Amino acid sequence: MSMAELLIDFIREHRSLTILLILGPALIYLAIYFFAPFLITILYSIGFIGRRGVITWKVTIEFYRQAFRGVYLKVFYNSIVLAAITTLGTLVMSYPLAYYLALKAPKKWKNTLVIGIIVPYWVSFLLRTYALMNILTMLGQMFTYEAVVIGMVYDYLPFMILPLYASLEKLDKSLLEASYTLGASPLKTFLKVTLPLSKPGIASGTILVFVPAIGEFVVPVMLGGASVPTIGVITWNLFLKFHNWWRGAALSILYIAVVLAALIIYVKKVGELEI
Amino acid sequence: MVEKTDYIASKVENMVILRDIVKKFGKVVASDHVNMEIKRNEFFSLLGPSGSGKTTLLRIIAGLEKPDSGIVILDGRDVTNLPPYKRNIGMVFQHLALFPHMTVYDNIAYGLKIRKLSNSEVKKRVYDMLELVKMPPEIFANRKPGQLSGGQQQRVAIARALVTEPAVLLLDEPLGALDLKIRQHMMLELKRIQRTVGTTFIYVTHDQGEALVMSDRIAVIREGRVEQVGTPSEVYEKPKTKFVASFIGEANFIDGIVKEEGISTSIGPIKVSRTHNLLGKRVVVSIRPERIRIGEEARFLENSYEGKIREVVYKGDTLIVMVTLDGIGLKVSIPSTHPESRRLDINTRTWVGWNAGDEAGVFEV
Repeated sequence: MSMAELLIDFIREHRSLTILLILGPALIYLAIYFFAPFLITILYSIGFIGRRGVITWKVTIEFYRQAFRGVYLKVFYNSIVLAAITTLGTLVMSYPLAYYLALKAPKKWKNTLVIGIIVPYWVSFLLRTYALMNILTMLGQMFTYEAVVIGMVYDYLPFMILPLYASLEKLDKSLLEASYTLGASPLKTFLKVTLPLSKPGIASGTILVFVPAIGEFVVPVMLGGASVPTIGVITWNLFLKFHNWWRGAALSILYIAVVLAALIIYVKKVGELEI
Repeated sequence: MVEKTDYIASKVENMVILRDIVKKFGKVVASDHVNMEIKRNEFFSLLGPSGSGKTTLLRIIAGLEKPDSGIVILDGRDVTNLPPYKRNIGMVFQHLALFPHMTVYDNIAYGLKIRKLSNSEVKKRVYDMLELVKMPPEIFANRKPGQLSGGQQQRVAIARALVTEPAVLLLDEPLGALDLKIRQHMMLELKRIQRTVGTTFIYVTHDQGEALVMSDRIAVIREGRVEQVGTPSEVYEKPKTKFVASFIGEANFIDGIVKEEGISTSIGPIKVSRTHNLLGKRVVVSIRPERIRIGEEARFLENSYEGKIREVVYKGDTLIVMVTLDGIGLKVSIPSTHPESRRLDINTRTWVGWNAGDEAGVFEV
């Protein structure tokens, strides 16, 4: 028997071991960089880890109680409103564009146009935000709520355009023609056929924009200054300004719970998703 | 004045009139000065190979394509510049185009709801339609298109297109995706539905069998032009061009030159009924395989030749015999019950023949 045959036989006989070997690196990576920090955050939030990282062997809900204070709830509320405005903004800006790209643009230009939308986003996010700062300063809009909204809509735009484009692109154009022949005007056709059939794209885009937008930190800080405190900004302050890791951790876990709950409700309501 | 009256009479008699339609896609001429009249209540087929421009004509009637020039008259009205949603048409698409997010009921009700009919009227008409296409509403009304078989989807698509009582029903190769058995069944169903509702059907197909079975009249289309319009028996028995003869049914073609006494060919002279003043011209004689007789009975016909049997193919009801004579291959089709059929052995000599007038046509080349 050759080495190769021996190896194949070994793999056949130890299937579960082989799978473990293949998945191993990814599992180790996730364990070190994702599960462990997450666990540590939970342990901080319940006071299990004390000052200087010493284990206290105690559990308390005190930090969660603190995180439920009105001031934080208000920030939570503001973050969700900002995320909702951002999502709506990207949706309103993206839909006509995605519609044009998927259904109206000349075939030979399609890919070029799609790449044209993506390419600017190859530039680092930070660099683009700095560039925006210059523009907003020129317009006299810096450190306002509007500046934050403009920045966030701009940053999240491709996350809305691409899923919308993907779902509209799949739309069978003869469905629209069928609607016309049945007497429906283009507007009615849009409302009764195009829009309902692009729902999975709208749902995916909404989630891809809304969820990270709630926790957004960089844009509110850079473009809003202190004027737009979001949950991301407050958490950052708790950890790095006030060194209150326990309350920061509780706030983080609460944030994850809220987003997860919202996501589950949304997915159940909308049904299938396309990402 | 006479012309004007004729024009009005034509509008009354014909559901669709195409006048000098030209449509180009880039350099490709899809419709090349097409004129056509489609009568009220007839089952009219546009037959041609793929890329012949038959679907373009259908889409021009529907209003889904705008002709570069020409006039479309639908139900006595010039609709050339009207969008499809103002034309009162029904259309069954090649891939059916049922709305996947709607139930069977909502698909069929779509056009009625657009026309703002009352709920009770919508329900009555949708149910009547489901009955017509033999889809019991209590079983199918609430299903989604994805839960139906190909043949059932077909029926829903037809019901959806007919429920608004359109002036014409346009069908774009709707049976192409079905397998043979269901296709044959649906052909008869379409014919039955057309007789029941009496709507004008315009049917696009590349399948000559479908066109022959269902149509009252057929227009044979080639490279954007109308080659011939006629009843199925006219286009089959009396094709006007070599293309029509070859596209519809099967035909043998023999090259020759027209002489006083008949057509001179490499297998000998062929007598035909008429030569259409083609004296001295190079022509091709077309003869259908089932018109050629074989064996002793062929020996004393007006055109009679001796040849060698190359191949015998048994096809159940018929027997296809390939005979070569002086380098030319002839395809002969006889009923398999024919007494001669048992004596046809490969590589034996036999007679083939037919009478003048049996030919499908003589075409100039």
